[in-house]
Amino acid sequence: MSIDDLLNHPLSSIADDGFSERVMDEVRAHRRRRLFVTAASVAACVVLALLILPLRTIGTELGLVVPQIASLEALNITAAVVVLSLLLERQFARL
Amino acid sequence: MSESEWLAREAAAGDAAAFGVLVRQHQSKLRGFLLRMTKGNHALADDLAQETFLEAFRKIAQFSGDGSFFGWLCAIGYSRYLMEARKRKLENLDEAGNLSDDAPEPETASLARLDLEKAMARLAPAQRAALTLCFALGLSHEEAAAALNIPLGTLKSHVNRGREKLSAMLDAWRIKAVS
Repeated sequence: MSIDDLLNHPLSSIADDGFSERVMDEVRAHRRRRLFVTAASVAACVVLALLILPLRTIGTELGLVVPQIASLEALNITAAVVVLSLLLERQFARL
Repeated sequence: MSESEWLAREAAAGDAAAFGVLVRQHQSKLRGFLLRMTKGNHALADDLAQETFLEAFRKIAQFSGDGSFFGWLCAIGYSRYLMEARKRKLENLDEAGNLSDDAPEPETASLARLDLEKAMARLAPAQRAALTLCFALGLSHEEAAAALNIPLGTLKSHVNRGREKLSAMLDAWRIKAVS
């Protein structure tokens, strides 16, 4: 048997014996941890925002500004174009 | 698009079952590669393979599909192996392996493959990895160079020098066995 024959011989097949399932258990545990960390981070941010931000003042200001913005025709057309572009992009991405 | 590439895209989109199929498809070859890298240490090879798959899952969105999925897995696996080898001081990674005089017990010709594994274990890790990826696992030189994160010329040099050393070791052992 030449050295090339020996080297070209495929590696012996290794039986799974539950290895894949153990890996997938770890993957699922990793996903749960990631989900928990994300949820905890969002909750912490919301609590911080509720504590720090002057929400009443912001709400009052928004109540005054939003109707004025909504009445601007050019802004409405721009917003419609942006939304349509995003929808079309999603449709093309699926093709 | 290959099946593995399609499965990798599905996994990147959040389909864990698709990743499960990838694990089942590639576990044997990856564990075999790491088993050779760890010189037959099954427990360590399996630990490294498990860590490799987990890292692959975390980084699945980074798989571009330029090379094969298995080549990408080997890149992660080899880098994990190097980290572990440095941590455990498994072997001197910076020096090329030297031909050793302490040959194993004489073997019969039918045990040539066992001899190959023993000789492989005496090579430098980069040479062992290069030969395994290019010959036993059938990766192209370009894919193997990418997996080992080395230039193509260096990969070819590892392959040629490793092959020469293996050949010399096996010849020496054969002569010793015959005499």
